[in-house]
Amino acid sequence: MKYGVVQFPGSCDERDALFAARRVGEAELLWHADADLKGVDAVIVPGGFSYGDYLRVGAIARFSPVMGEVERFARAGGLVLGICNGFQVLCEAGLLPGALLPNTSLRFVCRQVELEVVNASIPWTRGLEAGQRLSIPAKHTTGRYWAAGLPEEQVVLRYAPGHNFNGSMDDVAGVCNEAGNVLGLMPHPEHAVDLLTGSVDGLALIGAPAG
Amino acid sequence: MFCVLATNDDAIAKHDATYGGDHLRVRVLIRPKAGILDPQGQAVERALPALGFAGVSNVHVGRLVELDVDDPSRVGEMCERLLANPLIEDYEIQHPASDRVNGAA
Repeated sequence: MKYGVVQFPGSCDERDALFAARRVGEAELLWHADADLKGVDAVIVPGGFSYGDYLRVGAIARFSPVMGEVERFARAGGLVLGICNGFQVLCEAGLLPGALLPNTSLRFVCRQVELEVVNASIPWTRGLEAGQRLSIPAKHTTGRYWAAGLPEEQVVLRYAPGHNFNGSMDDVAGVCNEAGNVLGLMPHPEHAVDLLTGSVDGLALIGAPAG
Repeated sequence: MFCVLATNDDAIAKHDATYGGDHLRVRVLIRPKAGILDPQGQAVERALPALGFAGVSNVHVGRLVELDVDDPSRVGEMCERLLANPLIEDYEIQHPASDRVNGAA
C-alpha cells in the first residue's frame, strides 16, 4: 500500500503524515504544483495553512494542480484522507459536504480529544467498530463543522460527550462522501501513532485501508 | 439596499484614482449567511456596550473584496467559484462609481 502525502506551501503536518503512513506502508510527498499522484493507492491531504489560508481556509489550495488530480482520483473511487486543513481543502473542493467555520471561542485550541466511531463501514474505518473511542489530538482555529442536511451515514466520527470544543454541528468530527472513499476530519490521527506521544489510535484510521 | 451615511470620500476618491485606471472598480461584500452562528459579530456586539455604545444589535462581521475588472458580468461567477463560499456566505456586488448594484445570493 503506497500513500501519497500532498504538500502545499504552508502545509506543516506533511512530515508527520509521511511518518505515520510509513508505519503501515510506503509513502511519498506529492508537490502541490505537480499534477501527478505518482501512482499511489491512497492520498493524504495534511494539515497546515495551505497558501496561507488567504481568503478562506482551503479556498486557494483547492485550485492547485495536484488537487485537480486528487479530485479525479477521488471521483474514480480512490482513497483520500483529509486531515484538518486537508479536510477544509476537500470541503472547498466539493469532495466532502459542508464547510469549516471559526471555533465558537474564536481561539486556537490544541488538546487531546476523544472521538466516537459512528460509521465503521468505510475503507478508512475498516477494523474499527461503531461506538469505539479513539484518543487523538486536535489543534485548530477553524474547525466548527457545518453542513445542511448531512445524511447520518456520512458522519464517520463524532466528538465524545464533552469533547466538542469548537462548536461543530451535532458534534461531527469527521465526514465521508457518499461513496465512502473520501474521509475528512479535524483531529490529527498522524500525531497519534506512537505511545511516546500518548496514543496510537491514529494508526487505526491511517492504516485501515492497508488492512 | 442601504445608503452610505458617512464615509471618508477623499480617501475613497484617492484610492479609486490610484487603482481605478480604465477598468471598472467593483466591491464585493461577503457576509456570514443568516442562521449560521457568527461568533465574531457576537464578540463585537458584546464589546460595544462596554464602550458606552448602547442600542446596537444584529452585528455581523464579513469581508470586503475590491477589484478592477474588464468584464463586470463575470464577477458573480468569481464570487461563486472563489471569492465567497455560497454554502456559508452571502455576497453582494457593488459598482460604487456608477452606483449600480447587483444583489446576489
